[in-house]
Amino acid sequence: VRLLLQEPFAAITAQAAAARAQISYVYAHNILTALERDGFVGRLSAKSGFLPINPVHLLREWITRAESTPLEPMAYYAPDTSIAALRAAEEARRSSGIKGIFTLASAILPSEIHATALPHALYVSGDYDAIVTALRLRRTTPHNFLVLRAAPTDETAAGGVYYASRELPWGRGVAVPQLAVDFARLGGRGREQSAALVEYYASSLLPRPSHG
Amino acid sequence: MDDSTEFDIVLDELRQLLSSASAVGLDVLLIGGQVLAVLMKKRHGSGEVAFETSTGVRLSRGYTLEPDLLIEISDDETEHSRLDSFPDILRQCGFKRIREARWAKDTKGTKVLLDLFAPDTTPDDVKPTSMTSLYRSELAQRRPQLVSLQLPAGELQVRIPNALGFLALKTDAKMRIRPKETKDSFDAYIYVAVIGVDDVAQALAGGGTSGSLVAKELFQLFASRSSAGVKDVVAQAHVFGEESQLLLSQSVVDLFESLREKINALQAPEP
Repeated sequence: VRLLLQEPFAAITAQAAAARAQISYVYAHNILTALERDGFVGRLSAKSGFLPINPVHLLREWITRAESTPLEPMAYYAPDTSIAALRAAEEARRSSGIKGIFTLASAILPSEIHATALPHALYVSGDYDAIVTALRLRRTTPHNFLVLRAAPTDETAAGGVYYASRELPWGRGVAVPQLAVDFARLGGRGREQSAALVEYYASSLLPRPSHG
Repeated sequence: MDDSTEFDIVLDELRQLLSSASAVGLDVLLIGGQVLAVLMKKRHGSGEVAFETSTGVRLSRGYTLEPDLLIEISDDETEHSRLDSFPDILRQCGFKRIREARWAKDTKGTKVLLDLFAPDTTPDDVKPTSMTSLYRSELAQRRPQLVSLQLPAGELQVRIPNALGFLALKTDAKMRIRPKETKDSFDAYIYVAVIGVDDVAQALAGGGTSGSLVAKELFQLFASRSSAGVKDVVAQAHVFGEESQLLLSQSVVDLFESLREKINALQAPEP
């Protein structure tokens, strides 16, 4: 689904999807044909690649299904969540060799912000002591910084949470569709922010006006 | 731009709009979540809604950047001509209608969004522009409070509902309009926590049958840790971990139990 949403105008075959997501051909084919049965993707012929019929509908369906699995974070209080603090955390992450990527409020650009007081978050794999030290994280409320573990199958750049990441001024953040899903799973005002990101994603698909 | 700066820009736009509306004799009431932000700014100098519960859980609701405005419309037809000027006032203040009852203005690097409401008793042909009909508007308008805030460019004078009016809109929103949403319970809880049970109890106990009804709705929503309103507060507050959630839930239940006791004491017959 992440592959389809990232390049919604490029048809992808089950074989190509399997190679890019590093999964078996059979598994990729089963997923794509299930999406086809449900009306989310289509293809011109049985041998051509799959295309989302409506990428926004596909993203909303992903969000709806993901909402039933709320985030289960390690929750902390960070005394400073400024851009400078996030940048310092990113530097600590890279220099310590920690695999991680920002999400929630840490992965949103100022122009995309719709709701305030939403927590920051980082997906990490393995130990993250350097992040705790860099951000001076404490196990108290308010829980404004969450540490998340992706499902083992999603801990990859091959179609997982690290796929199509965005370089933000302070570090690396998840792609917009993943961000919308994560905000929806957060619940509360996260759902409002998720809906705004879906609108943002939809507008990014519109053709840009040409000049000259 | 940080949230505090953006909130101040929104308040200044609100100041200019309400001043222009007042100049032609139009009464406008601020309703919804921004009431909390205005009260926090009045009391603490910051519009950020943040506090610590009785059980030591710290919460932050952040800022509310989108004013909801209830345009007060009387049955007197001679006053309706004044209403017709309201869309012009919005346009003169730089706002454009972007959909249905929503107006927007791009200013100082931010977008100010307004949502317009009218009493549900107002016929559509009397409304000067699209406005969402608001059930229980009569309670919101019954005894409004005037709040004055000194802003850098001048004084904002804004009318807000009293405790009965604010809570009546919130319980109606939760129990009738959007029962699956969590924000209305959260706002009702924060309002009682911030204003204090004494003042809220006074307003509800003195509100006649409407006050009793709203109190009953609050006690239904916040009766126990498993009640819908209490669960909503935990979800909306983004508090994680069993212990923290338990502490927050208990403080919510304790607050409304305390409110119940205050109301009962106020309504008890003199010995």
